[in-house]
Amino acid sequence: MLYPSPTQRVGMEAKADASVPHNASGETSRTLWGDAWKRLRKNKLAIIAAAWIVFVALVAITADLWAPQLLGSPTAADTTAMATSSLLPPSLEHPFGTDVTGRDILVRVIYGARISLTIGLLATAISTVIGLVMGALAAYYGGIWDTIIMRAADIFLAFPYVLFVLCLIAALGQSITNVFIAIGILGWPSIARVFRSAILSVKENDYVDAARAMGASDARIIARHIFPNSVASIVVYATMNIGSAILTEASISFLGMGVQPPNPSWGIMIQDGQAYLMTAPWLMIMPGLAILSTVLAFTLLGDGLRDALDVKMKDA
Amino acid sequence: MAENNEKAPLLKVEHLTKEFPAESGVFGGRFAKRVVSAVNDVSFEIHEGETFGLVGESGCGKSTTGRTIMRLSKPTSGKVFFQGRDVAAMNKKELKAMRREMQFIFQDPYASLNPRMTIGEIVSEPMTIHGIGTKEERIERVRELLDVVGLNPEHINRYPHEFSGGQRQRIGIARAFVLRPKLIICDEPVSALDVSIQAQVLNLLKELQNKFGTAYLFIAHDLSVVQHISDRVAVMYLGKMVELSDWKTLYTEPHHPYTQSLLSAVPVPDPDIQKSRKRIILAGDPPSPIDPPSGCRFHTRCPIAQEICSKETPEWKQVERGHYCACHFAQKFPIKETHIDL
Repeated sequence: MLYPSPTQRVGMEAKADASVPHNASGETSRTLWGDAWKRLRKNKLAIIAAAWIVFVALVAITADLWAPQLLGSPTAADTTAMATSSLLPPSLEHPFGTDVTGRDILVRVIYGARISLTIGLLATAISTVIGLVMGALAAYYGGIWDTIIMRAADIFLAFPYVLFVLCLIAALGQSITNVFIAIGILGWPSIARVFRSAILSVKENDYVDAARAMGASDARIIARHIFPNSVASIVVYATMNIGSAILTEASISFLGMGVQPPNPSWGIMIQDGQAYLMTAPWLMIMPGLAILSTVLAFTLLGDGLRDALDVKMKDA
Repeated sequence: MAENNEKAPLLKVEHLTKEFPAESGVFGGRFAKRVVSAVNDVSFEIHEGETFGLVGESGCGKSTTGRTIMRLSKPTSGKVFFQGRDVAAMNKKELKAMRREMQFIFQDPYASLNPRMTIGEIVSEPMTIHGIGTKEERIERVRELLDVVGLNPEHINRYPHEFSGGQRQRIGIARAFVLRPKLIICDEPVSALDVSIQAQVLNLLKELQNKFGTAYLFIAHDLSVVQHISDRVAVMYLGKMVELSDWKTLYTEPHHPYTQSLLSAVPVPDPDIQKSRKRIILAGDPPSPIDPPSGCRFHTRCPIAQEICSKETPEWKQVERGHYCACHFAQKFPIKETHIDL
């Protein structure tokens, strides 16, 4: 009886408790994301923000199917339109007005959303992947790796961000692909920092020691204990990062290094409208509102997610 | 229980020493000259089914001793034998096997449970890791164990944050017992709890010990808590063990002046005695474990210190059968009155 086999051990204690079925309690087993969704639903602001993002995304994705028919081409520059419908103020026919070449601003904002959302998502995806790997390496292996990676991150952060992106685009060559590559590559240091500190603080917890004391493998400790407890901050940070990536793209395009005309980008539209600020302010206001509402929506959603993913918040 | 010396001890700690670098520096302190001497030359044995109490002020190295035995950190020198095998020399596989027989209960019931796991997952994790039983068998065992530790088995799908501190500590206890280990290291398991809850948890630990015959290494800073549960008690001061004895002897005839002062500080639930008794109040704070005092580490605060104490480290010697003490004047100045209610 010194070392009973595993099955014996279980057998010894498996007393007749069969009268109680396992889920007699009626309590459903709950998951992290299920719980988070429950809490998120109660946050009105976050839900409105999420709904807005979904709406903008749907409009942008399906634009080809209906927008040009209804509102005209977003890029066409024909002289007749220029003559008849240049700089029209918002009306039923052109809800957002028209620009100097007679193009409908609404359709340009819709197509601009495609570029903005694509850049926001792809650039954030690139930053997040690089940031996660770097942050995990630094926090995990510590020592010299931590020093090298974090000092590199500091150097990256020491440069003015927009200027750095401009330089990289200039080096890579001007194209939409290079815009999001540049924004994505240069976004990693802050994500690496956030993830590193999340891992470090989780690593300090007794439950990680508890798992080690039980004999858990490193892989299990990472997968079951460290990752689930540090991923929330990354989800939150990445969501907010989408907003700032959109903003960066707008700045770059405004400065003329990003998306090139006649492609519609919110940044370019603002730059185009600059000259008509006093006479036709809708040229700037409409894309400006688009940027404002979308970036705000991502920030609010990120805030909501942070609260929702915090298990210590009561379901109340 | 302490007397079954003819059997090999379950756990044998020999000259255990653990030092931490005192500086971090560019190279993570690997070349630091100054070290924190957290545990210094500590030796003791724990027998099967025994409760071994380890007391001392905070920072005296008692938790580090527990963690080093568990090999949550590696000892600087010294040896730890568990069931006759050297823990420090074990490879991964042997270590995993050892961890089936040795478990840990943590001080902080909030930090020791993963907030993202349900109670069922937490308590069954040791079984999952060691591949014991089928899923159904594990659930069955978790429910049974939750019942044993006084929790509602229906709460198996709840999360830790839905429980109180005392309940969470019970979850931690259930987790430690799920593999029926031979030894559980309890690192101040009740010091984070309310006094009323402390007694309940202590009684639970006692009950479980009677039921399963587990040995405890019981770490605490509170003599009355240790007295409640221990067979033998060791007192630590600044990384060194100063006295070790069965609890009754230690509480009635302490030999080391430090033990005496600790005992005189235990409150007595009788105002008359409390007023009239003589307390030994130690001057100052414990010295820093970086550059600990020379000779006897206690000499800077000792009421009976003499010249020799600052020069020579007192030997760890047996003063009576099973009663060890490290003091140059161990037998010469016994202070008689201790007021623990035996």
